[in-house]
Amino acid sequence: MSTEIIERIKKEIASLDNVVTTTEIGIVTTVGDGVAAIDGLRSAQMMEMVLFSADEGASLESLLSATDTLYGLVLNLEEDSVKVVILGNADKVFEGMKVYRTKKLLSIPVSEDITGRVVNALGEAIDGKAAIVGKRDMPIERVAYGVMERSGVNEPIHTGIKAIDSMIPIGRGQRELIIGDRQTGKTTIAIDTIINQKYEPKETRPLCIYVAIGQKRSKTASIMAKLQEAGAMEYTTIVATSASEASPLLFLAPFAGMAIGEYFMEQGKDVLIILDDLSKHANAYRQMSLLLRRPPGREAYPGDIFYLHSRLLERSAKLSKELGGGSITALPIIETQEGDVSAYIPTNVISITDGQIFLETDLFNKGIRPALNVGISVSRVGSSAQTKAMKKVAGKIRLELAQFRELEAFMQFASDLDEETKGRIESGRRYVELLKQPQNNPMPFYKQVVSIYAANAGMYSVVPVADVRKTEDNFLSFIERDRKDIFDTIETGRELTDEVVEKINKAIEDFKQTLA
Amino acid sequence: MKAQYSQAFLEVVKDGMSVEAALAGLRLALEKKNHTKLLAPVLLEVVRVLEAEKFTNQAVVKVARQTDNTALKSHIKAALLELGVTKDTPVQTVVDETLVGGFVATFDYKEHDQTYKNALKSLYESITK
Repeated sequence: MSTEIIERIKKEIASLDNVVTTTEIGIVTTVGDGVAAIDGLRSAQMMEMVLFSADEGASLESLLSATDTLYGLVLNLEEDSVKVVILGNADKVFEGMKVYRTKKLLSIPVSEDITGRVVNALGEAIDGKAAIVGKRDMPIERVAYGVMERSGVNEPIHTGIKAIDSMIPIGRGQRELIIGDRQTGKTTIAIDTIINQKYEPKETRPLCIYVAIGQKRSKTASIMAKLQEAGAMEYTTIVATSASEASPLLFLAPFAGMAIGEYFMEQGKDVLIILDDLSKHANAYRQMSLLLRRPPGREAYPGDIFYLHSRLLERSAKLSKELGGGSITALPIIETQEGDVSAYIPTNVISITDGQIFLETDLFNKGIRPALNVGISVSRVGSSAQTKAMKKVAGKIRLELAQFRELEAFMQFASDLDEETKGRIESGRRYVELLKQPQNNPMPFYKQVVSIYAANAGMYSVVPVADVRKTEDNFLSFIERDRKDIFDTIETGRELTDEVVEKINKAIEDFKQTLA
Repeated sequence: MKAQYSQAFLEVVKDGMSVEAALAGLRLALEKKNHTKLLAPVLLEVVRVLEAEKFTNQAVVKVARQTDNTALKSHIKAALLELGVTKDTPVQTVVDETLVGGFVATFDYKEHDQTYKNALKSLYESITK
């Protein structure tokens, strides 16, 4: 062992003569609010990492014992200086400090080891476990795949939430916005979607990335605990930035998440990325831009805020077969104020994404959870990705709910209504009840199909509205126990064949006997 | 505005006006236009530009010991040439014991580092990483 070390050191010493470097340097002229202005660095590129060096005048001993390296990110190239945001403790930067180019655009090291870990916006592990050894440096910023490199969205990603999977289906490679006021269950939908992936076969199971942008550390910790408890952490990576971190790190977090996603997508894997949330991301970018003295625009956001989010979300894609067929499905989250979807950032992101899941405070307070407004929630490309089985049963539910919403206003005059209208209202109420789901309890799609089929077949019309969910649970347990082949056939075939329909009808009849 | 005033100040000084006279002129001009608040930022900008010019007009060679300056003369000369230093460029020599050995030459925002400190640091990093 010692011989080996000696040999290695000798080899290194022999090459010492070659350690002569001529590099471009810069000098910090001003520093403040996490932004440094630097003279020199004439050939620096946008988004290049620069290294702040405290070597000048420091002894060799102190240099070798130093553990942290301080990097900056070039974001403004000006006539005679560059402006750099400091990625770390800005207190260590001083006027006159030397800055070196790294000639590397900001990138993060990624490997398979990153799955199941919690990392910061620079890809460094922050979960107290071993450092992550990267196989590839993935650039934080890159141009999204072009048209010819993509294929259509044709495979579903199941959220496990009946209302979404049936009426607002999401496909692999799609960007579906989750939008709503605070405390309406946006993150819950995202977390449920991650948890639901455990029901997917291992070979087609999407890897999940949860990006916490400026969240409270306690919230991120509780999300991690939930995922661990549900056994979902083994296929999930959390990119966490807290509210107390510098705005450049918050700005980088979703890009880092995308970079991790692209690593797996390029291997032909499917990836699900949650960006929680882009409102805070926009705020962080606004703060950073103002500090960089970029001109403010509407609501003081910089002029390129739309471009920022579009180039981020455009990286979510379904690749062509030639490129391995991998995908990144993005679920960005936007928090609205007082339900105002016409504010600057919500309208921007609505127009960038392929649909939105709209959550309402009123519905939430009425106990309808998930508090989904089915009327204005849409999925623009997801229907082509929906499984045949789900497509077959879901058509009726949207229509029934639309009719129910129209008739809802007349509910208070129930006694004066004709039988048909009363019937529609009753049916609508049952559908609404059926679509309620407790949090962190996603339902596999084959169970959803059977449950919705049973609703369409009028199975719940024989029980009071309040008992719908209990009856559903009992019915699904009955099938699980006595007719499991129904679930198995739908899960593997993803179709509702005549044979399966017959079996479900029989099961409904038999179950009704037990209700009597 | 700050940049224009500082540029004008530097130009008149370079044209031969004394610093005192240029300062008086600057004060007067600022008062006339009600820009007196700009005096401090303008002067700071002037200092910044002059400091920056030091990097472009003057080469700095740092050595670990005074004797290294002569011992490494040929190496230093070659390094300065590589950095674009001409015969007319003033060269300032500084002794910095923390360099351990060798030298580092800086000119026009370029640095040629041939110090033992740099070499040992690289060695340490290559062994430990």
